[in-house]
Amino acid sequence: MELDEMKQAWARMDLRQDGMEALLRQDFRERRMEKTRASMRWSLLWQAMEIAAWLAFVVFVASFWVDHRHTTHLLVIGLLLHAYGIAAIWSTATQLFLLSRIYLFDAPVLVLQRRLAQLRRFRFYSTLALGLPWWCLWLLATTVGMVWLSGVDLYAVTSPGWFWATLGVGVLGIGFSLRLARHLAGRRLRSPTLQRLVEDMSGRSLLRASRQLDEIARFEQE
Amino acid sequence: MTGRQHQQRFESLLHEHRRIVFKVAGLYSRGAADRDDLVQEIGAQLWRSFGGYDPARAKFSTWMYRIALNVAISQARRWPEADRFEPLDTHHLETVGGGEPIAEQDERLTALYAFIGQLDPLNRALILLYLEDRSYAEIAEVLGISETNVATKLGRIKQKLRGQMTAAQATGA
Repeated sequence: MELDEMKQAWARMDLRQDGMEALLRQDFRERRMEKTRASMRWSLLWQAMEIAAWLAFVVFVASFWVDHRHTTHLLVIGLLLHAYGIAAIWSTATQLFLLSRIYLFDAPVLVLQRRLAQLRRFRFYSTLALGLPWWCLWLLATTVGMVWLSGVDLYAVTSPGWFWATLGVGVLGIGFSLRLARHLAGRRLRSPTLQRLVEDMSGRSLLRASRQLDEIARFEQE
Repeated sequence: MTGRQHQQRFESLLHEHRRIVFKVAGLYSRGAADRDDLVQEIGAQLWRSFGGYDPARAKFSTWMYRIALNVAISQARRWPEADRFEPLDTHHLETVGGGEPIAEQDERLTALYAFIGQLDPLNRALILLYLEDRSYAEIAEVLGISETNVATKLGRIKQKLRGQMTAAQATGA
């Protein structure tokens, strides 16, 4: 049997479409379509607000380390948070750019699927690089917050030993998170956000995105 | 154009080309419930993107195929690897409401579905467009590859199918 014969069989096939037709019109009848457009706009607006929030954070941290440039540990903490804030702005802006390229979903199939895979790969690196450091960053952020709010320097009132030990626990926490993610990988979790986080941290989403990119490249070259 | 007119134009175009949605959803779903979700998901994305549709850049059917296939392939990629593509079977020919299979299900169609069931998402898209009698130029435009590439790939698929049929006949004999 040839493909052309199958084409004739396909042309004769006619799915009974009454049920599907109703489904296609259901969203209009229930006025859900406007909501889907609005939710997309909100998600882009949310990303823009996230960039604005990180910009405010960077300005605040910059003024903090300029004010405390004569106290070495506060200067270093301020600079670290400043660098983190810039990385967060870069990551959010890049994700916004990548999202804007797929927003309409009307690019040729290979182009759009490649862009989607690139977005997934970027999200993987960004989740790891910006999420895991919070095991240590919380201490730095708390130190800055306390100095700013009440003038109490956590590093000075506790002891450098306690401070470094807490940072060490944070490093162990990073290792623990990665191990836990590997352990949970492949299981179905109730929360989609947690599921995505586990897939990112275990490297599964990267693997999937890389496979997808390979598949697209093979399809183009064959 | 007012919002109401815009929506009416969209609904009329969607009605005219609705088979595209149904065929894509049928080919990329794992069962009737999945197919219903996919039909709605494609419908929602078409409406979201309709504001950016420019008739000067692409035919409505080309634009619709791109969106429907992009939604279907992206959704299929979210499934776990193991149950991504079960072999296409009679449920793909069932009606949504009644669930009864099409009465005169011909042998060629069954063989065709079995063959499509083995293909990856991108080759499924290619074969669907071919079966829908789209020109090589339109297939190339939907997928984002050259016309020569389309011809080469279809040639290979035909060869593969011929090989499988010959093997099946030899086993049957």
